[in-house]
Amino acid sequence: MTGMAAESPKQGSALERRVPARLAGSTVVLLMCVTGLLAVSLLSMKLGAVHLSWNEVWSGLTSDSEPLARNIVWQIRFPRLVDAMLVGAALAVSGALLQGVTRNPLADPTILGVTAAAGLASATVIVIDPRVPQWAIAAACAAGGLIGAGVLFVIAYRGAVSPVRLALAGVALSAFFGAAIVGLLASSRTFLQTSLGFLAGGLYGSEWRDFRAMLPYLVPGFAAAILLSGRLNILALGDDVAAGLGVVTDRTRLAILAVVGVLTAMAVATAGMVSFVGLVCPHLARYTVGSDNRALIPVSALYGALLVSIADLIARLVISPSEVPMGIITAGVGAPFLLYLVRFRE
Amino acid sequence: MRLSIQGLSLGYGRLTAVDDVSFDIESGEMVSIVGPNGSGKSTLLRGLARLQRPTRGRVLLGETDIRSLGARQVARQLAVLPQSPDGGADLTVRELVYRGRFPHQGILQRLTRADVEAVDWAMKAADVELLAARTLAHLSGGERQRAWIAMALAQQPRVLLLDEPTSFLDIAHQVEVMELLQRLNHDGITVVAVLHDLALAARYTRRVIAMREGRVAFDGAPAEVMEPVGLAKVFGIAMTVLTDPESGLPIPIPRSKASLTPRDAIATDRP
Amino acid sequence: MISFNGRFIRLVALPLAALSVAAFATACGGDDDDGDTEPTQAAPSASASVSSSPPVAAAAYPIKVKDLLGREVEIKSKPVTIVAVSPTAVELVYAAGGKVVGRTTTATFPEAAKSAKEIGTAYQPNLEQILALKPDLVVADSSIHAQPALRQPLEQLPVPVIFAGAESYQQVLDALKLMGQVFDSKTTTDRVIADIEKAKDDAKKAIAGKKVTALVLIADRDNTFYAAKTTSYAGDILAQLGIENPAASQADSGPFPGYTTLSAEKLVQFNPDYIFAITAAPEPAPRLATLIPAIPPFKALKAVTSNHVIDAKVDYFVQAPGPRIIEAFKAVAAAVSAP
Repeated sequence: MTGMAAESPKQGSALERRVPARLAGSTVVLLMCVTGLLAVSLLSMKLGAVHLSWNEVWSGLTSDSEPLARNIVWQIRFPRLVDAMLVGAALAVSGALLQGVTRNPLADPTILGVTAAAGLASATVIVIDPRVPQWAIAAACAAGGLIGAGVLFVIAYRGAVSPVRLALAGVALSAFFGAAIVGLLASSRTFLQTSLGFLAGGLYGSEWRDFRAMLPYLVPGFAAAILLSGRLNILALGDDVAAGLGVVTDRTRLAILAVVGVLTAMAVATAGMVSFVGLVCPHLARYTVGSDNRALIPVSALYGALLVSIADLIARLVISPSEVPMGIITAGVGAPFLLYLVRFRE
Repeated sequence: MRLSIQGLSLGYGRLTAVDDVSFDIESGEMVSIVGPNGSGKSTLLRGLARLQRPTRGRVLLGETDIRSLGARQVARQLAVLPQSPDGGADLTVRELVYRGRFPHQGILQRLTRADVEAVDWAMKAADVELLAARTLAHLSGGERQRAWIAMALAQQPRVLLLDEPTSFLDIAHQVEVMELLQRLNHDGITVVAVLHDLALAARYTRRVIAMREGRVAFDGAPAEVMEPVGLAKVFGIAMTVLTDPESGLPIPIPRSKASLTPRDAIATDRP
Repeated sequence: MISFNGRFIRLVALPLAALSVAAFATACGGDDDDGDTEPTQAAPSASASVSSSPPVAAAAYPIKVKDLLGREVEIKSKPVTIVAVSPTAVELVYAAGGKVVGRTTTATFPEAAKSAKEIGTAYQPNLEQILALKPDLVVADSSIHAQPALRQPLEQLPVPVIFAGAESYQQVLDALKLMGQVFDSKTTTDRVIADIEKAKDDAKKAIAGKKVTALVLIADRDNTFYAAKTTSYAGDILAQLGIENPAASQADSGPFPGYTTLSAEKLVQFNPDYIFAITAAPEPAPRLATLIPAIPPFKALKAVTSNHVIDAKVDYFVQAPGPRIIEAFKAVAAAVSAP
C-alpha cells in the first residue's frame, strides 16, 4: 500500500484532511467496481437463453408494449440480478464480520458452519412440507443461522470467547451440519436431482418472491453490521484493550455472530450453499480500503454483489439453456484470484 | 477523582489472586504497584480497570461503584493499558489514537471537533506527532508504547492504569516512558502503574504499594517503605538499599539468594 | 482511514441511500402474489393455427380444474400453444388430442413431439425459453416438480400452469381425466382410459391367477441394487396385476423415491420367480438383465435358472409414467404368461 502523505498537525482546519494517496487510489478502484456493477446489470438484462436487443431490454424495463420482453426482463432477469447482488452482499458482509471477530483471515460463513446450519434448516423444512412458501423457508433459515451462530458461540465459550476456540468450533460444526444435510438429501424424495444446485449454490428460478422474503432480514442485518463495525474495530485491538475502551466484548461478539447468522441465512434461503464469496470479498475490500471495518464492511458488500452477479451471469450463459450451479463459478473465479492476491500482493 | 478500593478480592476459579485489599488513591497521585510474580498485582490492576469481576468488595470512582456504571462511562474517566498489547499492528499511529475516542462517540461514530482536538492533544502529550502516519508494526518498542499511551490519553481519562508499561523495553525507552508518565501526572492525571523494576518505581513514583500473595505488604513513599527488611519479606531475597546522591531516593539492589536471614538483609550503608 | 464527516455523507452515503430506496421502490412495483396464480390469458399470437377439429361449444370454457398437486387453476379457453415440461406431460398432452410447441430434451415420444423446441431438462427447464414460445398453457409434472425449487418458478410464470404427472396406475387415470377436462376432449381421454383398463385386464387374464413373486430392480452407477416397492410406479404396475412383491415391506432407502436398497443377500433370500431389470443408461451400456445372471451369488436364483430375468424398458416403467403403461402391462404379461 502507498504511504500516506505526511501531515503537519498545525495545518489548516482540523476537520479537513488532505486526501492521502491511499484513499485516492481506493476511490478509483471503488468507482471501477460501481461501473462494473452497472455493466454487469446491463448485460444481465440483455443476455440469456432468449436473445433480446437493447431496444427490447429498454422497452421491457420501461413499458408493457412488448409482453415477452417485459416478462423476461421484469419477471426473470431483473429480480434474479437483484437477488444475486443481495446474496453476494450478505455473504461478503458475513465474511468480513467473521474475519474480524475471529481475527482469522480464513474465516467465512461456510468454513465456520453457519451456511450449513441454515442449509440444514432449509432442507428440513422442505422435506417436512414441500409446499412451504418462500417466506417460511427464509424464516427457517434465519432460525437455523441463528442457532448455528449461537452453538458456535456456546461451544467456544468458557469464561470468555477466544478467537481460536471460535474457529475450531466452527470447523467442527460445518462438518457436522454438512453431513446432516447430505444425509437428509440422500434419503428424501423431495430433493432428488436438484440437490447439486442446492449444495453448490445457484440462483435458478429466483425472483421477486425471494427478494420479498429476504428483505425483512437483510435491512436490519445490514444496518446492524454497519453499526457494529466500529465496535469490531475496537475488538481487533485485543480483548483487554477493547474492554478498557468500553466495549462489552462477549455481548458484542454475540451480536456480531447473530448478524452473521441472519445474513448468511438469507443467502442460503435464496441461493443454496454458495461458498467462497465470504472468504474472498473481504480480502479484496481490505486491499482497496484497508482494515477499518466502517469502510471494509460496505466495500465488502460491493465486491460481494459484483462477484455473485458476474458469477450468476456466467452460470446462466456458459451452457445455455442449461445452467451451471453458480457456486462452482464463484469458487472457480474466487480461488485463483485469492491465490494471486496472496502470492503477489503483500 | 479518588479511586477507593474497598475489601477487594479477585480470583480465578478457586484460586484467590487478590485477597481483601483496601486502599485509596487520591486524585493526582502517582502510584506504582510492585511485587513478585503471582503476587496478584496484575490482577489487582485488572480489578481496578473493570476488566475482571471481583469475588468480593468493590472499587469506587469518586462515590460510585465502577461496576454500577456502564463500561463506556467508566472508559471516559479511566483508561487502562494492558501488558504488551499486540493488536492493531497494521494501523497507523493516528488511526490507533482515534480508536481511543470510542467511549465518547455516538452510535454513528461521527467525528466531532472535540474528537479531533482530543486526538491532537493526546498525540502531542505522548510525543508521537511526528509518528502519526507510521504503522505500529514499524515502530520501535518505546515508540509503540508511547502510541498506545496516546490512545489511552485520547479517552481523556482522569485516571491512567498501566500494567508493566516498561517490560521488554531497553533502558532508554524505559526512561522515555516513565518520564512521559511523570509529565502526564504533573498535568493532573492520576497514574497507577504495575512495575517490575523497583528502581524505576522508586525513582518515578511517589507512592509504592507492594503486593505479596494477594495482600498489601507495604504502602507508602519510596524512601520510607523501601528498606531491606520489608523488601526481603515481599520478594524473598536479601536486598541492599542505596541512596541516589542526586535525588535522595532509594535504589534497591538485590543480594544473593543464599543469604536470607534478616540480619544479612540489614546490611546497608544508609547513614 | 475514511473520516465519517459531512463530506462522506454528502458524497457517498446519501447517493447510496437514494439508490437503494429507488431500487426498493421499483422492486415493489412489479410483483405477483404467492400461492395460486390467477392465470393471465395471453392471446394466442398472430400465428393463428387453423384448427382441424370442429369449433367447440362456447359454453365449455372457462373452466376451473384441480390439478394433481391440488391446485385450482382456471382455463379460460381451449389451450392451443402448449409447453410440456416432462416426458409424462408431453405424452398426456398428446393423449388428450393436443400438441406441444416446447418440450424437455428427453421427451421424444410420440414422434410428433420431436419437432417441438427443446426448452431445457425436466429438472431445470429454461424459463425464458418457455416464455419465448408464448404458450397459453404450461403442463408441468406433479411428481418431478413438487419441490419448491422447481414448483415456485413454474407457478410464477405469467402463464397458466397445471401440474400433471403420475406415480401410480390410478394417477395415470386421474391425469388423463384432468387432461380431458383441460382440453375439453373427454371422449378422447375416456378412450385412452378404457384402453389402459383393458390392457390391465388382459394382462391379468394372461397371468391367469398364477401365484408369482417378482422384483423390479434398478442399479445405480456403483451397481447397488434397488427394488421397487408398491409405492413406486413400477411397483404399482406389478401390484395391479396381483403379483407379489417380496420387497414391499422393506423401508424406503436410497435416492430413488419408492425404492429400497436391496443387498445381495436379500435378493438371494427373496429369490423371486421373476426379475424385471431396468437399465437407466441408454445403449450401448450393458443391460442389467444380462449382468445379473453373470454375477456368481445370483446364478442359483430361480429367476436366473428358469430364464425369467427380463429386460424392462426404462421408459415404460420409470421415465415416462403415463399412457404407455399399456406397454408395461403387456411386457409383464408376456413375461409371466410365457411357459
